[in-house]
Amino acid sequence: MIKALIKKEWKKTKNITIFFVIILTISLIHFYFSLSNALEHNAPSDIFQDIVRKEGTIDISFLLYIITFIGPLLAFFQFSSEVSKARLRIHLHLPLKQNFLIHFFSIYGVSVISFIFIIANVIVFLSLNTFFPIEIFYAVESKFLISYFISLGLYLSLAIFLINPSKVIKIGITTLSILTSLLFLDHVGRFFVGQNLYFYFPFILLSYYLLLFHSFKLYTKGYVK
Amino acid sequence: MNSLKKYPIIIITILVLSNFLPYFYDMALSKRGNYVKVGFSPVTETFIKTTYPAGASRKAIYSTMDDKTTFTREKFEEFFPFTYFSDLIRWGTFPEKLASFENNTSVIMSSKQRLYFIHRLIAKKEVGLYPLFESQSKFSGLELPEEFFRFNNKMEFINTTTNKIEPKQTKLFTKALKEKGFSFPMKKIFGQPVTRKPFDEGYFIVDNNNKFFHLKKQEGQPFIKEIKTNGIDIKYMLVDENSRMEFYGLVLGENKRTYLLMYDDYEFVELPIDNFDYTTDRLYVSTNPLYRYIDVDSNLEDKEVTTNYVTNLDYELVAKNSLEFPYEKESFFKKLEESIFPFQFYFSKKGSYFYYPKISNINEKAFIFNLLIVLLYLVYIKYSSRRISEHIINSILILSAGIYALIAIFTFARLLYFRKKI
Amino acid sequence: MENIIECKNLTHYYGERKVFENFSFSIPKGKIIGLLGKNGVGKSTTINILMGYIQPTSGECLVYGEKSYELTPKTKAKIGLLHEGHIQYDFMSIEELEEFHSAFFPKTWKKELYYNLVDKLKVPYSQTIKNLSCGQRSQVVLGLIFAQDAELLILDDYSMGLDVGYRTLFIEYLKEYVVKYKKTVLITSHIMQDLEEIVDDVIILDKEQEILHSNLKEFMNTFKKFTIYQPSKKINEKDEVITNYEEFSKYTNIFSFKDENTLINYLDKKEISYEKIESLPMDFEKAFMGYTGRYE
Repeated sequence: MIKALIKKEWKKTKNITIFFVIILTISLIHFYFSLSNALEHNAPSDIFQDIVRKEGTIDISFLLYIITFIGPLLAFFQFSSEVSKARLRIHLHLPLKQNFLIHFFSIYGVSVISFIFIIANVIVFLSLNTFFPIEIFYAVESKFLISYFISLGLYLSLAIFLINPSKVIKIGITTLSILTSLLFLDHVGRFFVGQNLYFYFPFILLSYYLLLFHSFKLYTKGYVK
Repeated sequence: MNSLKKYPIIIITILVLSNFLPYFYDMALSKRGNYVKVGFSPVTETFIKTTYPAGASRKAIYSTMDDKTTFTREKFEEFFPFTYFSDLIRWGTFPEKLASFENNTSVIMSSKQRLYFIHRLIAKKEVGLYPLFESQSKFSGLELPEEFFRFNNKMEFINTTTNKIEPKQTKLFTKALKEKGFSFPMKKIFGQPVTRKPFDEGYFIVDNNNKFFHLKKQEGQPFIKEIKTNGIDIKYMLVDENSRMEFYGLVLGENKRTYLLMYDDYEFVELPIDNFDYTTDRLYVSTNPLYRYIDVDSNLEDKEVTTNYVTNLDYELVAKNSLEFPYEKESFFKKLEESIFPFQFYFSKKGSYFYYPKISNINEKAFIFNLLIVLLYLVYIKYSSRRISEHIINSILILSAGIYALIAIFTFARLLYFRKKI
Repeated sequence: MENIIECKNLTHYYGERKVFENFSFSIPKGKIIGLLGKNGVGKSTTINILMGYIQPTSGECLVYGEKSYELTPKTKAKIGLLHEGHIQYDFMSIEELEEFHSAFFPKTWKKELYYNLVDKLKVPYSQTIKNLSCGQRSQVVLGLIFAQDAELLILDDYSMGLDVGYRTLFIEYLKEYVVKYKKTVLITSHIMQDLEEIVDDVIILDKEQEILHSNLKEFMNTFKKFTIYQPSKKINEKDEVITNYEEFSKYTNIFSFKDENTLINYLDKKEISYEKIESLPMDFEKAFMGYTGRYE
């Protein structure tokens, strides 16, 4: 049964997932070769200094955007077809525990985002480790991790936006996501920015998740399209 | 339990709104106050004020501190010959009192040094890789070495070409440090790892036992000296290699005292300033041939305070001045703001790399407004056929967080419809 | 007889708007019940309560003894739902849809029943649902319901979007299936002629009238239409004799559960004279309209 559920989610999100995997692969290849070219054409110590002092040479901004946008795009493809004509009711009527059916959506989405993030990390680690000591990877990782959390936050926000029928909540969650992102992205782009943010993210993500769960429950409590 | 699930998102909304609503309010309605700079004139030996008025006019007003006398710009520049000497020499108005410097402008130039400390320097986390320059290079100008070092249980040098550890240098420096009593791993390291400086003094390092060391490379060999701190717990050091070679840099102690670390025998000279909070304040140290100036800018909750200290060449206090700048003029909008917004939430310190939550600008007046909103809320609850007993938590939230809570609750608690009483 | 569905004192409001109050009914095993009513009387609300998408404001609805919005997986497996508009996952193909649903009923799934219906469409199994017409989709969805082999079928407006051909086909297949396999069915529709062929009992919801729950044959036998020509005065009220009436310039139609003699005596008592009284036969649709009243 779980295999069937996974297959259904994959069917909905196959195209966008493959698209992201492809552009991520291209970006990672480009990332590796841009590093190796930089080291070939410049003195390595200059490159080290550029990275350590100015956060230059290692341009991962494209990777950061990819990781950040996987979340909301995945949510769109996962949930928009469930919400149209209230197809969610089909899912909720499947002979499995209702709470499990609800959690399953997010488990799938978060797993896909996390899996792609982990693979990207591994490749970035292997690329960087070829040319630089591990400290550089830690610095780059600190930017990556924020993108991952933001991606999860946007995934949950867009899911809430799509699933919850209340216009007020739709506007509310959109505004809240934008403002919360602004609050955390005050210094985006610098190494080690907001490392102690990691402590707060889980609470925020959990709050979003509870609202998402509650939005699904509306389909058994009184929201019918 | 079900009804409690919405409270986490409501609390987050309250905190986010309490950051942005006052901010947007300020942006829309606050007025920029005058910007004032204060300088100590070595000519008059008094403080002179420059006011940049708010609004369209950019014309600066130069005056005495009590505003009783104003000066033209030319007169103002005469008060600061060490800054404006090129204008004054050209005009022939270099002050008589300091005439000895008129033909000796190189002394003026060589006496200049400026240090600027801002709290984000402390909060900044570094990558952990540093270049160790050759400080006795036969070439003019500093060059980046082929290795960068890092500290773990040794001082490890990594070849930037091969990305591998350089065992010889690693062994050499690690052994030298241990012989001088250095205890690994290091806790803090300070330096200026850039080539754009006249020479290099290496790094100042706090070891695992809080001992303080000076480390540099001279002719390929380690130079290591333990510096006696006399009980000073080093919080931060701002290293500044300057041809004057008077001090290595500015040192901040955990005790919130500030020092300069002198070349002369590594002496710590305390700066005669009080109430310097390195988590919030900015500090400027500047030098000229006759005086030392230390300016401290503090951002308090309701005002900005600038304190100017002037010392002689022995860092003894000669003059002091303090100016307060309330953030806004007293106005209707300011009073309204204090009545509506019960507090403001900061989740980031501007300029800091670490985010920590802070609630400030607590306005007691706003709690009266909150009480009013709670009453209106309860009326609405009754009118829309809901049970007041189910809205106690909401009421408490609105009483504490006022308008922020009201918006959050109405957004996420689905109250915008009437329910039929059963 | 065991009641599969038991609804007691159902009351539901959308905000301040009352949908129904103290509505009770039960559906025993093996019966085919038609839930009827004009637009806006609460048919969809009732179906949605039964399907578990709404909690009633008060009262309860039990399906196999469990609250309709908190069914266990085992009970859910016994219920086949047809959602209004024959909604299914239209990003799946015919084949994928069967594969998906069959995974949830490993022991009872009857694949051949699905493909029996689907083969009649003569479209490739790789065709996606969104590329099928409404009628074709309805057949696929019906096939899924048959293959699930559910004990209880709840069919919400099966006729939506279907032309007369597919509607007829749907009803024919459904009738054959439910009779053969002795299923319990709750069905709603606006097409009375179709339902007349298949349902055992009817529940008629109406804002003005009492909710009627009756065997169809009994309803058709007892509910009559009488026409009185040139009545001397207007009939001003509905009561236990006059269930409903329609007034025209030269005649008045009276709908009643009483026989002609009772009506004649009643009109005499009310001092209403008339030229002629006629009892006219009605089909189910006319009887329904008679019971619920025309739109004014």
